[in-house]
Amino acid sequence: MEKQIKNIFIEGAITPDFIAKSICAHQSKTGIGAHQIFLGQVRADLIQDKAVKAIEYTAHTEMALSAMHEIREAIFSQHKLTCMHVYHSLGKVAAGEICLFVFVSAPHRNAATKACAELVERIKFELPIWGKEIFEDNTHQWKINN
Amino acid sequence: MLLIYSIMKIKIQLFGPLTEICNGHQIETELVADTHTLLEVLKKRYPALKKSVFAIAVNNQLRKENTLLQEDDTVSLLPPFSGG
Repeated sequence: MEKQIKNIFIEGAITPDFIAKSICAHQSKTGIGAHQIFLGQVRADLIQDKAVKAIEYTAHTEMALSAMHEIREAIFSQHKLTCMHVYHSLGKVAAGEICLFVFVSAPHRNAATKACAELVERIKFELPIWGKEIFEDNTHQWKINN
Repeated sequence: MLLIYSIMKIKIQLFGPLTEICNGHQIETELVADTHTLLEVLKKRYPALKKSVFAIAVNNQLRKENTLLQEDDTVSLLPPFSGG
């Protein structure tokens, strides 16, 4: 059976409330023994005396969702997981706010930890998403992932 | 006799820094034979593209090799990703 392609994009920042509710929603899944969560936060980098005040994200959404689908399937096949949730912001996210939320749950911690780390790397390098770093004076530069 | 010419076109989607080089998120060109030819046309029109690094997708499929183009194809130019 073909699994449905899930949307991962959220307009603007991912709120702490949304993250808390996601954790709560897992309390009924009692086969889970370990959650691993990664939160990406917009950093106020200082570049030539100017601080980044926000990152504006854009994406090739269709390609990103289909790439994410493939990554999800691959990670599920490699690790014994109960569930996996990925959310990435689109549009403007201010420094200090959350732009990426990766949430992996498994019966045991090893699978959750490894799968989460792998997921974050693959999300950063394989999803067609672009970040525009906007400075305090409204000039900008395009983010580069290292 | 009335002749109606319809020029065959392809759409080009631009992302990240390429939107600034090409002044927009989407442009159109007349249909050309393949992706190599398309890049030549685009680099003439937007010389700054010559210095840009990007991958190419045709109808949302990444293409590393030169790829034949057809009417109404959508070509996406994808600069290095920087999500997260």
